[in-house]
Amino acid sequence: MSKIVYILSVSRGNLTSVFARRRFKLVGIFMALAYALTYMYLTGNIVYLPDSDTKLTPAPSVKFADDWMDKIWRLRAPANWEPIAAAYPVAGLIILLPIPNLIIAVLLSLLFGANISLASYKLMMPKACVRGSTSGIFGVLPSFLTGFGCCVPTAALALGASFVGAFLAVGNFLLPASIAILAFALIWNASRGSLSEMVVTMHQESG
Amino acid sequence: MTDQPEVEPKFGRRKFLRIALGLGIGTAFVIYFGQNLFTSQAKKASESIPKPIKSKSSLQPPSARLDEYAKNIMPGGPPKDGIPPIDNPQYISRDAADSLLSNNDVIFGLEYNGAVIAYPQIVLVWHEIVNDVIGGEKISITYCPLTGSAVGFKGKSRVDGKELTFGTSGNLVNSNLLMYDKQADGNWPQILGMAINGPSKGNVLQQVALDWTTWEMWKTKHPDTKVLSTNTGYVRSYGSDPYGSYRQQRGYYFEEYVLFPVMAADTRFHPKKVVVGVSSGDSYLAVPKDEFRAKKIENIIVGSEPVVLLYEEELDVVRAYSSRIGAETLEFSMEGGKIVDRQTSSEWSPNGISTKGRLANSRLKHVNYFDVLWFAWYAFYPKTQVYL
Repeated sequence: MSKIVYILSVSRGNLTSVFARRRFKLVGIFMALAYALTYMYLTGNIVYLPDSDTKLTPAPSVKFADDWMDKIWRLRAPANWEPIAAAYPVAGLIILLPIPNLIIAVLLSLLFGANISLASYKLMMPKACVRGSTSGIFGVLPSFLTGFGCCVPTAALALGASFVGAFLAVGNFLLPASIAILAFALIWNASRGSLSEMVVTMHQESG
Repeated sequence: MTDQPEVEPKFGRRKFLRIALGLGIGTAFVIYFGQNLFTSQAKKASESIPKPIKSKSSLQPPSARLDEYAKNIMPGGPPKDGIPPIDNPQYISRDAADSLLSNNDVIFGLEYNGAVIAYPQIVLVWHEIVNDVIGGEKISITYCPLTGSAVGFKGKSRVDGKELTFGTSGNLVNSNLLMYDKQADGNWPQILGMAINGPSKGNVLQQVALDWTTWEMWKTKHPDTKVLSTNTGYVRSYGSDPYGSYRQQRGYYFEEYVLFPVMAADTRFHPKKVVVGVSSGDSYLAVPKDEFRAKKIENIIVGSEPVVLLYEEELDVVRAYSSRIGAETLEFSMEGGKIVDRQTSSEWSPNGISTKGRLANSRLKHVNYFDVLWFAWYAFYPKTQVYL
């Protein structure tokens, strides 16, 4: 138990250290935003209809589903919930708003962004100073699992009949697995050595 | 650790940019690679026709194979009513619909009990079922994108008089929409129109004919039509289609691959060839729509039923009617561009109504028919005859 607390404490300290640097914070924010948008697009919640009539996408406007409170937690596909509203910011662009998917998008993108920040920080450090300076980048790979987990019908469309059964069987587990692996990767990578201490040591030695 | 003196790691702006660029390219590569993997797998799948599940009794009539259909139920992905049926449909006028729909958008046209209604495919692809009351009668309009079939059903059972409304079970049989009735939770494959389990097992729904046509053709023929609105109670990206596009003729609807296993497969036609599936009793006929356009009219026998197939150019639809009027069996032919029966020389419109002659205002009874993709029709009815 005390070891877990220690690992979490080291991870927290190292992450604070990374995010204290503006460049890495920006990289993380940018990548998190990109990931959130990609996730919403892959789950069919951001759609662009270039040839649609403006009446189908009456921009700018917002439309709510009937009895939207009752629909918030209603599943419409594996890891894809009923949108309670649609926003039409410009003609042709539809943004559907399913609350659980938005929460997941925020959670996943934060984990993804943090992993990227940490990975890029470690990549920039001299190899001698940081354990796993390149392995950190692999921490973001689980995030791509969600692409499968959240859009089984889309994946099924693309992958064909022989894959459908397998996907439907595992589809429900991919999203929680993805979150768990991302969180684990972040903590594991962040706990490997004290980044600031190593930099200081290296700096003193070279000085 | 945060007490340590702040020392910047040893890197310059150039190195930072290089690594940021690398990460960006790496992410883009993973996404691109993933998409390519999807595409190549889809192409690989499209190279082969659907593989049939082993079936011992494919030559028996469907009514004797209900348990076999039930064994072949498979999940399609969404949960029950995850594709939500429209239970309170709202309609808009032709003029209002004109700004929503493109001329070449597919609609499913209904003329029934004095009502003339267009159900746009771009709306039904997100709902698959509309439960409505038309002329005091419960009617369900159903559409399965995976099998390209739109079928109307009367809610009232011929057997026990019960009125049924339907939902989407989230499951499929032969890639076809498996409906469930909200009264007893029995399962009904749309193409079969028959309950394969539950208390109504073996009961058959009565069909209501739908015309699979385009918005331009329908509105020209029926300027007074009502159109199903996108105010469905749900928000969806109406106008987009997760499977492909009839507007641009691309995607699942036109490519060879089939997504879910089927009980029987055949190589005579492209799996996505559109046929008009005609049935009477335990006899089945597939009429390739493209080929029939030139023929326009045909007298045939389906099982023991004399049937006339009529092509209506105005809507680009093929319809099937029983040739019997009372005790008389009629034989139809095209004379001077008009449909005429040989027995009474009465003239007929392509929608089965006599317009002139002794039988004027008589109406032919339609037999069960609907447009459907070949692979799906064959999967349910491997004994089907094919009109060539």
